[in-house]
Amino acid sequence: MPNENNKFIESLPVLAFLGYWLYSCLICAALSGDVRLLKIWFVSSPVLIASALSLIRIYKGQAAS
Amino acid sequence: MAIEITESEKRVVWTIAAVLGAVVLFSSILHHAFPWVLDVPSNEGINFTSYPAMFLLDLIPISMAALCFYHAYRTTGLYKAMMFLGGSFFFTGLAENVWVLMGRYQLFSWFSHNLDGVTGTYYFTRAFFWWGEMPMVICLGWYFIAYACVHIVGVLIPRSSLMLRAALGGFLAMSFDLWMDPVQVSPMWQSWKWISNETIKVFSIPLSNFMGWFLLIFLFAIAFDKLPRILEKWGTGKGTVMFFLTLLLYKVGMLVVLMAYGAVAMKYVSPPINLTIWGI
Repeated sequence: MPNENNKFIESLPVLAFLGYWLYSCLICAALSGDVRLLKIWFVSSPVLIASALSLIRIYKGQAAS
Repeated sequence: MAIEITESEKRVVWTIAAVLGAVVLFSSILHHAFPWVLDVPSNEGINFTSYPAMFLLDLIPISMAALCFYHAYRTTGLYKAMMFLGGSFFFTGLAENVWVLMGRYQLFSWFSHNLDGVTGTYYFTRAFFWWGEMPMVICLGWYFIAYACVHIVGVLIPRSSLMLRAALGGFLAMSFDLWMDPVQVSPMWQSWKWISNETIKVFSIPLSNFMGWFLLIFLFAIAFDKLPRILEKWGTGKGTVMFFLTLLLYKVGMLVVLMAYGAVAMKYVSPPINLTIWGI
């Protein structure tokens, strides 16, 4: 089972992906002034679901790293 | 403790780093100081195009890429980390540059006369660092999105086939862009501008863009998975060259597929279709 430090390192690509999603999609949509752009957030829901599931697997020690 | 690398791997790492640095330096000077050479369109009326603003905005994807590079360095060693970085710069950078410049200089007719009426493709507006006519941070974006998608799918379904993992990685990246592209081309941001009259669009973005997102990540994941076997067969030096040649072959194949799609769509899809929600 990976230790806490390894788990953190394993989660870095997921955090980078989520961080960029937060910036380039969510924050930029909010700042665009066009509410319609916020309303189509659901088209990228696979990003959120896959990222959340992978973080859960990593922190539960189920990732085959 | 990071994985040790051999002397020949170190040479490859330094060569890739030097080439990346030199191309970015040359392209950035060419873009900012000599815009007439490649007919760079004007940025008039576009927000955040001062040099400090562009530099600060570039730092965001650079930080995300640094996280992925550190992960690659710690888990696979410096050589493979650099091969993923250099490979994605080469693969996506050349593909997008070809696309941007073919659109700018109307170079589609040689492929099919169905493409005679194409008005162009797209171009990027703001960036401090450039890679040809593409912002360096877009290359870095491709790098860390490809890396993260392959990693996430590998964590979720580690024992599935390579094709399935590559395909799911491609779909994940495409789903990311389904929201990002309409946001980034909105009047507030205008990070890039579509000047394409492609006949099938989704959220007013050409369908070929989303096909490109899927194909780039899908093909790169497959190519990178083959790297250990290429190195085993050819050794580090020749293996590195073979890896980049494989990427070039995939890239040519991808561009032909997208142009063939464009030629068919331009001829047979009329009137144009735009799949929108709430008029986006």
